[in-house]
Amino acid sequence: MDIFFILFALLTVVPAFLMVVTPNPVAGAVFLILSFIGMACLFVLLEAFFLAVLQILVYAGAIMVLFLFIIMLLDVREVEKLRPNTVTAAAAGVSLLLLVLGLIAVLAGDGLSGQLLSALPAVPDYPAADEPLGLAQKVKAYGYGLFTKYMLPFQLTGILLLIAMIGVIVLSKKRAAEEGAESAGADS
Amino acid sequence: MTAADFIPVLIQILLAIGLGGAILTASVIFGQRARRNRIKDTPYECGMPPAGPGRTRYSVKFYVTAMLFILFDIEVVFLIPWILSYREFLVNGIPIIGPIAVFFGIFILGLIYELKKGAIQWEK
Amino acid sequence: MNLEAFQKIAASNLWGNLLPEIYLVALCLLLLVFEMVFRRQDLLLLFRVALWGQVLLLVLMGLSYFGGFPSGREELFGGLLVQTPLTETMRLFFLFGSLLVSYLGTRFLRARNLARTEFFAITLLVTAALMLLVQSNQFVLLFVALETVTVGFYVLVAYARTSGYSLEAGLKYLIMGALSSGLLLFGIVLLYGVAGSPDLAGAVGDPLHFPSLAQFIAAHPDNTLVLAGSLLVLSGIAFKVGAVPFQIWIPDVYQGAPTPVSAFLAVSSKAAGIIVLLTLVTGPFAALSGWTIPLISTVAVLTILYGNLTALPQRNVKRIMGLSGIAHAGYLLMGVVAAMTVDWAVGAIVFYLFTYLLASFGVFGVMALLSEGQDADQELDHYEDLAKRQPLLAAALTVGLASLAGIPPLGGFIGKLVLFIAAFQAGLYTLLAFSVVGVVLSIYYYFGWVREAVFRVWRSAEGAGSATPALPEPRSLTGLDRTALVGLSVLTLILGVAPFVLTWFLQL
Repeated sequence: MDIFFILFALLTVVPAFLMVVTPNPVAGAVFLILSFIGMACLFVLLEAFFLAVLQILVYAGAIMVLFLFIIMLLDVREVEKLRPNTVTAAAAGVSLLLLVLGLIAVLAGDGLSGQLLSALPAVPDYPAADEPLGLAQKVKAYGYGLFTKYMLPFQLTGILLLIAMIGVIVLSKKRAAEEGAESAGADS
Repeated sequence: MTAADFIPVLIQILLAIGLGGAILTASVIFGQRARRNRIKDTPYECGMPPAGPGRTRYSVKFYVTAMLFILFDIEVVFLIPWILSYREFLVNGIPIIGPIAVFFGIFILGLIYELKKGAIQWEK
Repeated sequence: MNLEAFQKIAASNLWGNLLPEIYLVALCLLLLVFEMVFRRQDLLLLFRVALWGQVLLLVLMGLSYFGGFPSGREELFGGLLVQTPLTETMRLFFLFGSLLVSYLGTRFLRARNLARTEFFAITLLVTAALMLLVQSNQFVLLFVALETVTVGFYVLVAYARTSGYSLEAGLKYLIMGALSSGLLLFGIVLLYGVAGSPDLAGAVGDPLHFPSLAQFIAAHPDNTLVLAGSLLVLSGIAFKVGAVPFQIWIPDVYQGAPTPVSAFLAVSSKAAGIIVLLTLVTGPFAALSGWTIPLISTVAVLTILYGNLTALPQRNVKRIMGLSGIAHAGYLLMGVVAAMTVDWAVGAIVFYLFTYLLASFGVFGVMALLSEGQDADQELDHYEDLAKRQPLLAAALTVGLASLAGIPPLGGFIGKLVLFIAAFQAGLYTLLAFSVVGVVLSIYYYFGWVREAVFRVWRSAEGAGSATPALPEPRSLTGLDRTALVGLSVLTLILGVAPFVLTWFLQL
């Protein structure tokens, strides 16, 4: 499977890099989609099929729709004229340095040493019958856990989405009276 | 799962690539061709020289639709594990239909609310 | 496949123990149905349904206590949820808060052309999520509940969508809130990864479950990932509380948000953050007290000083409430540190929260009643001679501010006193000294406000007061307005003079 891993990892990383450097926002968005697809393939390699489906359905589908809409709402030619200023670039460089240092520190520390990673079992261990279920297993097992142990957070997610729906309407739709007042005044 | 289990997926991907390539090639081979130049490649605009850029900004109204789409998309994602596991739940006597009915009841109520508020309607 | 384990878990999903939350959600759905069915939005009907529905719930919950107030600790939903007397009290707290927010909301919406039902609907849902948040005993539920609360607040803060202030506040809150949620989630993931790793001794089956996590952390208190994860989780919570250095969003958001929402944020959101912090530091992170006590103590000192010092020169009343709210968060953080060693400090925190609720809603209520138009730019000068124009409002304002400042015989005094005694017992002498300094500072700006409102201030003919036009006179107070303000003031007084209330709280 190593060849597949390298293939899919390249499919994830190369478009991600291209997305950052391309000056054209639409091309950047398409590169991001490619990167998401690569990540979904990596999830398939890990046999996390549900996550792979989610990755395509939610990220490559829905989230990217939002990104593209934002790009269409903005004046792209103005955006293309923008040049990163030196302070931002310096801050980004420092952040990158810190990230790399942090990564080295964590890998060198006791938390995640290389030998610890290699000692991980190759096949994911499935839970015994009397154990609570971990989250990332096969889709069916995911369903077992979601609809028993995590039933309450699941229902709460429904409430969360309801709030979001109400919020979209409240913040975006004009009320009837408001419309009347506006049309009476100057055209907005 | 072994690599052999993914052969159908590979065939599917190859078929998709092959079909796309075949259609493009066919249109190059069988399509009509004429001499092209700069003038002919410009967008046709009633014979006038084109004015303004090709890409225009869209109204923010589209964005509402996109946001509602993402919400419904996430709700639908929960259906996938449910479809795969609800038979075992029924067999083992674990309540599943009721909770899902509540979840989607709230969801459908939200949908009706949005329709009533005219979220899908186009504002003039 | 054998599903016995799942049958067992499903059997512990006792929805009957969540009746208040279910009731609130049902009430919200009822409001939405009303909104759909009736074409003309009758504010009075919606208002009555929302308000009396919550009063009914309060009565029902009160009736259920005739069998005895819940005692002991009960784990439900496969360990996701835990119910104790503390969580039951906090349920009442949030219900009380949402009742007052709904009442202020009607005053606010009456003068404005904004969507109406949705304000109450979101308030009710957020309240239900707040109740679940303080009861959660597992990180998945904690995170989902916290996100539900936060998303609700994103909408509420930007609710006055025609006001630039409100939109600015909404955007700032959205960005800061998303950042803090990201920190929290990253911390949770680190803890999950390290506590579930089969290669470390004592790895637990469900690393997100607080007692299991506590077990793991007790075995590995020095693990780098445990430290990083718990620090990130605490940072995420500190954002919600508004503790230094995560207080930066507070003044702008409190000023721009509609006044009822500012009150909701100041009281309920902050209280939930404090209780969650308390649950975490005394539960899963108890073994880390070696560095959590100095850390939270330092944060508390900085928070108290920052809040009080920045509030001193302020003239905008909503910013004063926001900045002084940071100081109150600091006192509460001191209580949290104390609660890590002194058991009864938990009761002191809850008592303090109740006095803070009563006093804050008194002050915010007066602010909401005085601001019929634009409510983001109320200055102290607008309160000039309030006692002459509106004696009742001035009296309620004075009681509320005095209680916030901690003047005897009001509830705020007793609240601060028990909190300080708890800190003294816990041996936090430095922290205590800074708190006393903070209280003295706070008296200056609270009484500056009272002075504007109540006492005649000498000023020359072209004095400061004549520069800013007075706010328009509020519409006549209804019976409900009077009842609410008088009720809040009287309750503040009762908390200050009736010792049996305090003893009841300290038993928590």
